[in-house]
Amino acid sequence: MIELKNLSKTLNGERVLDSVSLKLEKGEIFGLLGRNGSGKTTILRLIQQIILPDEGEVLFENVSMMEHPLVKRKVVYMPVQNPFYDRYSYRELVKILKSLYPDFDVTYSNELINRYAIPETKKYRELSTGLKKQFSLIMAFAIRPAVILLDEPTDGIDAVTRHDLLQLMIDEVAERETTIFITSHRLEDIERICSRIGFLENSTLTNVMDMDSLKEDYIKIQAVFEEDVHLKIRERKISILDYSGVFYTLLLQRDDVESKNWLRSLNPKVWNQLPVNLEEVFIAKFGGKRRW
Amino acid sequence: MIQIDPRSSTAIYEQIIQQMKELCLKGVLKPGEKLPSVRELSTMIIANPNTVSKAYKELERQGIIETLRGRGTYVSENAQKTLDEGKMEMIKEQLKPLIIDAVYAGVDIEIIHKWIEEIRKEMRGSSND
Amino acid sequence: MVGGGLFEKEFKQVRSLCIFLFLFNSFALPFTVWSEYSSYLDFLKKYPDSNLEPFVFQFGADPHLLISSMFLFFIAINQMGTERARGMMDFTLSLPYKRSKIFLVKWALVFGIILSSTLISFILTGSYLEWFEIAVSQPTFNYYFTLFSTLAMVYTLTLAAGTLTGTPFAQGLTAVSAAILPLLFALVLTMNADAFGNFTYEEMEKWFEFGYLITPALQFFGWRIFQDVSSIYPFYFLIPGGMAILFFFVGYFSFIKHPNERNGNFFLWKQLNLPVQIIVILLGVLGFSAVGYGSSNESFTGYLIGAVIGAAIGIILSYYLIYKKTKQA
Repeated sequence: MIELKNLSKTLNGERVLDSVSLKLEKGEIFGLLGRNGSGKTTILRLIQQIILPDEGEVLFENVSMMEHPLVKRKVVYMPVQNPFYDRYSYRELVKILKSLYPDFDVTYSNELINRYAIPETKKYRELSTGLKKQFSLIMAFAIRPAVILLDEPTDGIDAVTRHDLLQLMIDEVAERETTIFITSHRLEDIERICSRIGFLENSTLTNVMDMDSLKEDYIKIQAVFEEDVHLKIRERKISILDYSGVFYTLLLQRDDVESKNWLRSLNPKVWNQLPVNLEEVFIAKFGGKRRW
Repeated sequence: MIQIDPRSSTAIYEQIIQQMKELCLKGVLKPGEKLPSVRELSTMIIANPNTVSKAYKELERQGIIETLRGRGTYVSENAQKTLDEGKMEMIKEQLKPLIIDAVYAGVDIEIIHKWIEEIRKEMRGSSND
Repeated sequence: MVGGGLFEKEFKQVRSLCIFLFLFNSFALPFTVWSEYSSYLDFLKKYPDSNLEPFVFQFGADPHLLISSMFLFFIAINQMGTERARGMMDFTLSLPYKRSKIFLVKWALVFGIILSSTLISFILTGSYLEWFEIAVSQPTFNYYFTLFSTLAMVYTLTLAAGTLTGTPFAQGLTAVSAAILPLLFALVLTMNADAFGNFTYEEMEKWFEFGYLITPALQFFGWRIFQDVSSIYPFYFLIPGGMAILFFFVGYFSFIKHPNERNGNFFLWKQLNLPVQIIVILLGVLGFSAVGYGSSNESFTGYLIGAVIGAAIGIILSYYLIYKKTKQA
């Protein structure tokens, strides 16, 4: 569907992206995770051709997006903020978008606007944050894209609106097999709706995996050790998710038999192997250098 | 109908399978009853449609639900029987780590047998299950 | 028409300014002609014995060119710098159109307004002058052609400046500076030449005129210094038109490739930073040294002091403008 090929970009002297490659299939929801400022928005802007890559290209159904911008009728980007919408109301914006995107489905957008009771004549900038995001998402879906890029769509809004937004996304994918590429800090939402995730760290894309594999590839070990093994564990570079007193929670890759055996050799009094959730993996990955 | 917890250590499709089974066991979902489509269920519980599809496929493989072409997905007629067998297996697997832990903690196997008797007596006293 | 949506979107953005420009450019000059001639006729009626000279309409004696140019200046800034500063350029670039088309639509929209309004003004003014057989300071067509090409040049220059700079202020400053740059250089070089060599006045004047002629902003000094350049240099009217074409291509190619980074830098193209800084410092040095030389009774020390001051000012100015970043939306 959409393919990123060896994308590299330097911004302000910093190499933000280094040869990032990824292929997104029809109907998949891909979650991109990473710390603030790691380049997630930059990737989205590169895909949408708002900025141009230093190296690499983006293909939509094997067609270069840079050379055929007309395919952007099928690729829509919903940024964190959309200042263009500010001075227009729903009705005005529908007119503008309909002339820019011929496939714009006014019936569908009217239906959604009514369903979520969004005021039709208020200017965008007068809406609350939650309504703004809902509004933007509806506009994006009404364009009837094949791929939609969402930048933190459910961050910073109330539970009800978030529920509505997620429901809308799922419905869109279930009904029309739209591909969704989403960045977010709401790990819970990512865990719910994504079929695949990837991490953006040190300007590269790492650990791209199925959401299910996450719980299969990593295990959490709760152990109690008789002696103080804290330093030894840190030296072995095993992720410590938590510890209090002698009770340790460690994160290991399931196939890391070596570390597991080594830990066993320390004679733990208690040993529990449990699956992990996304937040634990995220913190272990990115907070790894923290000293607990 | 069902609630999924993304933070749980259990994979979402597993949770769906488990809860569906429970509903069948409890009789909330009766044999022959129509189930929501993949799209409907995924929108209801807000989960990825592929995950829901995966759960449905597994439930179908286990014989608990069946899909009739063009008509939808239904609870199988013999769902109850399949469930009971599966449940037995599941409980045995659940007991294993508990018993292992108990032994490691120093609990005598004899004491565990005694506990089983106690619990059975309690159950007889409260309900007819 | 393909791109119709883009025209609509661009027009909505600059609608008020465009409408004002259109009305002003179409009707201000015809109105002025009518009003001046009517006053003349009224005066004749009142004082039939006065020895008034026959009425000659002076083209260029009014601020119309300046006012229309200012509208265009602000329209171009709105289309580029302001759009970028408000964060709306991202939306524009995310639309399913080639960058070249986006630039073309922006330009064509306003160019169309310049063309149509100038045409209307020309037809109205021309017919009125013809009908009443009024004498004019220069052929109507000459004036209007120069007017048209100057307006096109002002607009295209400012628009092109917007494809090189990151903020509306930077865009405006770059456009104005580029507009007077040849003149500045000519001024500064002749002043320095005067200090160093023994050139005749005619030679220096020739260089000065040359710099003057290739200055984009010529017409704005025109009505004070040269009333009718085109009578002295018959092919002058080609120059603003040629410049407009040049600036168009600069803007066109720059827009297609420009790095759209949101960091409030003065120049979008960091390759411009050093050359521009050098030019500013050079101008500062040459300018102040010439002033120093002249005001200290042609002594060389005065020249040096001026040079140092000029360098300092040039360095500080260019540092603060170019290298310091403004906060972006």
